[in-house]
Amino acid sequence: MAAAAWGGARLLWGRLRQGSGTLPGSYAVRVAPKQYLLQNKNLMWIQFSLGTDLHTVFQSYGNMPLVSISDEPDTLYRRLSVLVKGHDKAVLDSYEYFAVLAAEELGLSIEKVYEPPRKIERMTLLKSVHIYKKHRVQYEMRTYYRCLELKHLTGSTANVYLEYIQRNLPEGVAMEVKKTKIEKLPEHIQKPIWDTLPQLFPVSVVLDKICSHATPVIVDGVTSEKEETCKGQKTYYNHQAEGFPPPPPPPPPEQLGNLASDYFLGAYPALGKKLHGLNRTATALGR
Amino acid sequence: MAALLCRQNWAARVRVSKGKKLVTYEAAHPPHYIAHRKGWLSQHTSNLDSEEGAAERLVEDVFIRRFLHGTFVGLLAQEPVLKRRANVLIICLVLFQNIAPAKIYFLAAYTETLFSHFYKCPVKLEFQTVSSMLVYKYLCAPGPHDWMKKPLPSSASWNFPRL
Repeated sequence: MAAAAWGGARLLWGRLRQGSGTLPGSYAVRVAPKQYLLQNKNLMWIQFSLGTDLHTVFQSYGNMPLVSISDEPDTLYRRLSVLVKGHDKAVLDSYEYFAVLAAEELGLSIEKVYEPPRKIERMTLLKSVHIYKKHRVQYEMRTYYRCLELKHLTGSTANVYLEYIQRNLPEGVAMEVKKTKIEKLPEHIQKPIWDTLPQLFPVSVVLDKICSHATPVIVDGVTSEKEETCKGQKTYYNHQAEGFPPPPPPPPPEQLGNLASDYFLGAYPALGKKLHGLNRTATALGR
Repeated sequence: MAALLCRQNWAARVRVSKGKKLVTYEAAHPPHYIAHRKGWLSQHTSNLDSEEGAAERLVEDVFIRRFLHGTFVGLLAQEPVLKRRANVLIICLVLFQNIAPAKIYFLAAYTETLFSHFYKCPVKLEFQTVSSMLVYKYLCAPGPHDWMKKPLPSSASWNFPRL
């Protein structure tokens, strides 16, 4: 996991140092105003981990190349939510300042930084080992939170930022990260189904006909929901609002009756027969 | 306010008794001052909300403190501070200068090696030495016969432990 993260980091970082023009077109490029993180003297004094070598972000690996190129496109994140928890609010304050500064230096867009309310877990225990029920002792454990939300990141940027942030996490502070990924719509839902199957009738038109002919359907004394949907809307699926292409014009009603009973209602013969007139559809609905 | 209610509470408090006591800053403050005037001796994330492993960390901490107390006999100026940062265990000690530095280095390396084998994680010992005790408070109560003692001349010194 670390190697993959480093690969992604190196890819973006190396290319950024060479200049944004060298990246191929499929990569989303965000050119930071200050591109060289390590050379930025302002950040050097913010290292919280003292005396250990945990905070070295970009070590020289010797023969390892700085840039690794892969053909697959980088993942895109709509939102990266970093929630930090700790017992000490002052520590979280300084960590938030550090994380926000790091994000601004890297040129990331910060959506919001807020403080969720703290949680206190209280326990009331007996003070004595044996008896003395009236004398108790109370303890509490407080958890403070801080949430930092970044928007519109690429996978490699997120890896670099998170790696840097996590290496400098102070002791006694925990972090939860939530990533919201943007993916392409799968191919089988990209086009509406009535365009690909021209011989069949659109479901919307058939249901229109059923609803307009039928009297209110009563199931055990409660009016079913079908009545409301049929009366309120013209089409069963709201095409105009979602931007799908409008359905083809409905065929003349003479053709429709036979086809409806033959094709669409073939699977539900009981439903087709009982829709006209006052009927109980309890049996038709398969109870 | 809390001090008024704590007359019968005996948790982590150093009380005045016969004799002289030298108390460090950390020991002088009772536990209701934690997060106000005092810090934490053991820092890890398992006591946070929806985090696990508190019992394991506690058992480890108890063992580590007993081990350090036995290894650095008479050398600990303060309670050791344990920090856990992403699998690394960092032990911070303040030691006296009773023993030659070579021996202190040996003891430090010995504890680091043993702990890393016990807990299968990198262990770092960071220590500093102090020439004399870091006293925050002196607790002196006169005993029943102290009224008979004459006041000492300025050149003499009390028999304080390890000054």
